[in-house]
Amino acid sequence: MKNIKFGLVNILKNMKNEKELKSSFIISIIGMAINNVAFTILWYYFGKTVGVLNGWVATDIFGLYAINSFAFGIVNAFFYGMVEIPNYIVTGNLDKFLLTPKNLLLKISVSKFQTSAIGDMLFGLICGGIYIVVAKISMVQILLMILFTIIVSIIFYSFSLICMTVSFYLLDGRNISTGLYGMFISNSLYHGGAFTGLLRIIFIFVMPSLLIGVLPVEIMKNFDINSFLLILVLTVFWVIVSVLFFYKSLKKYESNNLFGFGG
Amino acid sequence: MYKLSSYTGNIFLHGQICAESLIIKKLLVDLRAFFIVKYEIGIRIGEDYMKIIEVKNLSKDYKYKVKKEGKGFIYNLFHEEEKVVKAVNNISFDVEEGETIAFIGPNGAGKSTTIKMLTGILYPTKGDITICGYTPIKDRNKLAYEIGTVFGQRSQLLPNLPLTESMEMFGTMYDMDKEDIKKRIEELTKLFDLKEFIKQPVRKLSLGQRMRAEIATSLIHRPKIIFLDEPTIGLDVVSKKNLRDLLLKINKEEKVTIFLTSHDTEDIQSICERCVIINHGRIIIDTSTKKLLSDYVKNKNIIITPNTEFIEFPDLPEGMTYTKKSKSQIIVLVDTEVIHTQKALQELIKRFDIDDINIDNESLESIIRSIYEKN
Repeated sequence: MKNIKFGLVNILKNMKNEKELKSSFIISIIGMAINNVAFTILWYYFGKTVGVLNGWVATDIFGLYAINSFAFGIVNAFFYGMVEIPNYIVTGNLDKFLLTPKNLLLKISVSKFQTSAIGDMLFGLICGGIYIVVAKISMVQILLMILFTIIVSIIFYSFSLICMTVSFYLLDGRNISTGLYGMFISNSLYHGGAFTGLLRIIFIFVMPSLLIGVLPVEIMKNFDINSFLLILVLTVFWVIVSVLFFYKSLKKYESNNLFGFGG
Repeated sequence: MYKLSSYTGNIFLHGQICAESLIIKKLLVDLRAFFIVKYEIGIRIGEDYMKIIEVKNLSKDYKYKVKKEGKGFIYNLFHEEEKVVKAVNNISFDVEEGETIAFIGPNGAGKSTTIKMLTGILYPTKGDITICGYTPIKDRNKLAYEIGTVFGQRSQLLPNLPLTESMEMFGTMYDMDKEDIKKRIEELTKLFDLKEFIKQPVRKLSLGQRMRAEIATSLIHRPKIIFLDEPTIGLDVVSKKNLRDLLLKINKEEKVTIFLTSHDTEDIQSICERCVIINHGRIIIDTSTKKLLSDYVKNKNIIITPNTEFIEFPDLPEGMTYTKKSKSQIIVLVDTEVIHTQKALQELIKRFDIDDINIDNESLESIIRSIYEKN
């Protein structure tokens, strides 16, 4: 309970800290939303041109972006500190988290707020609205979409944490971590119809890019209890693996004496 | 403590029954005084009560990979040799509650590594650490409530917000309720004289103000020990002096144990009662600052000014060397192990027409420098 209270206070303070830079705050949000709109339009027209591809139609792109962008926004807005782990390791700024009480992973995760991620959340909401109207989805499907947004946020956080934790094993793992993270995200944004056979297995079980958008949209369209349970089991799996991996890797931390402000 | 109070409690109960008897009352008072004195002595001499930091045979090794010269990239990719550096090598020391201790050494001596092990940041390779009864790595969370840390090179404050916001955030982190946080902020504002800038965004503060803010924030939860790594780095002389005075104040008024590393000998001399000098990962000296100054001062500087002006600079006896030769002033360094100061003075009076003489002890800085060089 104390951890939750601390987490909320920290998120609010960090949000306030970013909000102080008002113009940059607003530009970041609007800029990110516009950037995402352009990307979605591109995929939408691709979907329209190709027609039905492995069960995917153009409007499904909105469903994909609704879940994916909103989950990305939640993780990056409120838990952006986790994405900063490679930086914290290289600069030695991880020290300050080890010196204070409360859950370490929570402290790190809520230590930074990324303003532009609000733009992603906003964009996710818009896409969700469009999907509800255009695809004429039922109430059950809407509730399923909300549930999936929460589940996807958890998977998003967990696998991103694994990508960032890799940095503990390298002298300067920032590029490797960012590369893995980028690969994980970019594959989650492609047209769902493109993933078949071995590619599908890899991006579900090895790098769970399809779990954070494509698979939830497919389940939403044609509910299948096995696929639904698979997502739940894999969510628990990635949460456990990521947390254990982080705490085991922490022993590799050797600190550093580089200069820095605020971490 | 429990035993003492329960024992005296029983005696007072007995005293109430025989309240009329002045003799018994007097006896009770005497007995009580006896037990209190005995208890206080127990604290003073009982080591377990006093030690706030205990370090035994502590070591830390760092491993790094070395590429073989003359071998290609592919070879080195699979055959890198691992080398080990002993950053801290089997050190032991204790710190008592309320002590002000300087943990000093040249760059790369192992100071920061030791502090990082003491605070639970780094895992020791070998040895035991107990701080406030906790093992730092195992009980990191519990220990955090007992210690405060300030690293001169790093900020823990929210840069765009006023200091109060950071203090509130840290107060919540340490489970303090709103009222307590408010009360503590008021106390620290008074103690550290933060009023003039407490509402300003931290980013707009001067370095001296920021360091005051950092230290004040690190004390929000009333820690028993504060670890300071180069707290005066980059500060001007006035800010340095202010900060030193503040550290002395918190040591006196809040009984906070101060564990400090600094390359600034003024910090050490004005704040710390005790000096632990570390070099190449080993403790080479652990003594009081006063003793360090008296035992290790082997040289004295004699500064002489002329009646008119110095023209000639004759040779000096063994153990005496010129460190400054000018028409208006001569400074002579005297090695007191070779020649006594009184004899040196006589030698100078013989040679020069002197108006004024000053004798200075060797500075702490040069004492520490010579210790580093010898070790």
